[in-house]
Amino acid sequence: MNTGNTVHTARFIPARWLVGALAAAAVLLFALPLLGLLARAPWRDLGAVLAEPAVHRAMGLSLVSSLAATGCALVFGLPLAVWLASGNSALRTAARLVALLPLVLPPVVAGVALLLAFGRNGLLGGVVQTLFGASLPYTTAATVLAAAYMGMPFFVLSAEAGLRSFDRRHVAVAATLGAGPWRRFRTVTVPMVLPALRSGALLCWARALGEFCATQMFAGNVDGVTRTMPLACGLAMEGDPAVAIVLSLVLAATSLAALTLLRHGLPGGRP
Amino acid sequence: MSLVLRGAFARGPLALDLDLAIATGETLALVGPNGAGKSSCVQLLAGLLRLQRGELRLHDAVLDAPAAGVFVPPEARGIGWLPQDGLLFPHLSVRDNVAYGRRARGDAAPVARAAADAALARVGLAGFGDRRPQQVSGGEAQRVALARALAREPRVLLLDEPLSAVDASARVALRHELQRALATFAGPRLLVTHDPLDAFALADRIAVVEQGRVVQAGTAAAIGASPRSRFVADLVGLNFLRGHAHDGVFTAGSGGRLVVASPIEGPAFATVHPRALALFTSRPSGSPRNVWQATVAAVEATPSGRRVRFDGELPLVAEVTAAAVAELGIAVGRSLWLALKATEVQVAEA
Repeated sequence: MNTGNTVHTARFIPARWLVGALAAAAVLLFALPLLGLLARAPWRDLGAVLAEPAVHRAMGLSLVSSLAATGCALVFGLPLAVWLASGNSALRTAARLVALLPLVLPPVVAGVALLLAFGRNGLLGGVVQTLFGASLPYTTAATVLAAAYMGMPFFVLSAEAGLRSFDRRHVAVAATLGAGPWRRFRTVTVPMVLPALRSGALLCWARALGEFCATQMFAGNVDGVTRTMPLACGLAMEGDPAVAIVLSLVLAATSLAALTLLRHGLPGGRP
Repeated sequence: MSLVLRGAFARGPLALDLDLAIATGETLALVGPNGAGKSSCVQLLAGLLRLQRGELRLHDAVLDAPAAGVFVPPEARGIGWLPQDGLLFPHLSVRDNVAYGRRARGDAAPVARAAADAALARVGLAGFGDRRPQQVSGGEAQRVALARALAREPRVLLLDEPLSAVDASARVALRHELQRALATFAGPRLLVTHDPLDAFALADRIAVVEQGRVVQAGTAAAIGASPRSRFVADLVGLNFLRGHAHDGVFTAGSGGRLVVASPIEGPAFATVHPRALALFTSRPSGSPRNVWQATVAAVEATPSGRRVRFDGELPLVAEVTAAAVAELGIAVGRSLWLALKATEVQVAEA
């Protein structure tokens, strides 16, 4: 069925030189910024910059908050995806719209909205403040919340697609073989949609790792508490570009690794 | 009677109102046109669909009775289901597929795996345990699915069109395997099929389902003798002979011989469509390989014409139009010539 490798005498590309030139321009658009990073990187001071305590704190905080956001996606996003995939209703359509909105929402709007909901005087934040005297903004928890808000939709989107497309008759077979609902979910549903869950989790984590604007608006920019790598990078750009470039390099390399993993699977593993 | 379903279920254009009973140790074939509700019936029995009215009983236990608020979920029914296309779990090895039911039952992994290997050996797939489902052929996949259904020792066996997704070359071997599995399985057995040959070869009794209802049930001979609808006449009203095939000749148990176009050797079944038999008042000329003389034993009216039953070493039924009966002067006791092409005789290994 694979016709992709077949040589057809009828060319599918019109005006080959024009297409080639425009495609090359597009590749340049994406490649030049990366080349800029590589060209201006302070390779000799790399070790020294990476050893700076502030950089360490930012990297640690980014790792923790992005992983925690991915954890949130698994704990809350998977049940949401299961519910969304389990039928069709107006309520599901509305819930899906709300849950997927951050995919297209300008991050600055997300920051403002998070503040209005969970801030000191926010819808929920105000209640929590009066009841427990605790507040979310300017804490690491706020960083996690912002990252989860921006990253989780990727997981929900991918997980629901996976749950909707796998052949559920396998679950019926498992039932006739004596497996109860939990066992069926654990031993049939999850393994069968694992590729979708894995890529969703990876996209969620990558988005959470890069979260900048909503975090700054909602969690603030406190060294060691909410200053993740992107925030540290943005700040450093104004005073110490070398640090900014090194942080950017690390983030870019991580993103590239995540994308490679997504497209080609784990090395040695099945795709 | 052991498995008894008397109930109704409706969804969309499909409205089922079924009355079925399968005895312990009996194989019932459920035949009917596409969309008649055969698969839904299987799903009702397995607990994958709920009855909306009526009752399903297995032995003395009620499995589904909406009026009484009883519904036993599929995992607690012990009803083995062999789906049409096997549906092996793609993420598990063949061995772990077969061991699945044992694991669900609480058997330890080594015990379940040993039982799985034994079950695989019984369907002729010893040594297949380590393969992935993607690495076995369609026929092998069905045998793995059969082993998987049997390994957990179900009380009822449901085979849902088990041969339809298998290519012709693997069908004979798989039919053999199913026949053995059905013969050695102690509980009630249901075989859904649209192939009359499978129904004849594998089942003790046949129930014909049309538009959600059982329109006729009984042994193949009883149904074939008086089909109640065009569909039944076409599908179940086939002539069915048990006998022996050797060197292109099928010898019926009753003694008659037919030249056939099949390489099958040994014990065999043969089916002949009633309309494939041509009747003549004098010996026909031409090419048919089988020409013989027989006496009319009975003439029956059916919705699609007249069925003419013949006595003798080849007890066959021919279907002709009412006009032909008049034209040929067909009547009980009359001797006629019959002609049958070798290619019109379907032969399968017994």
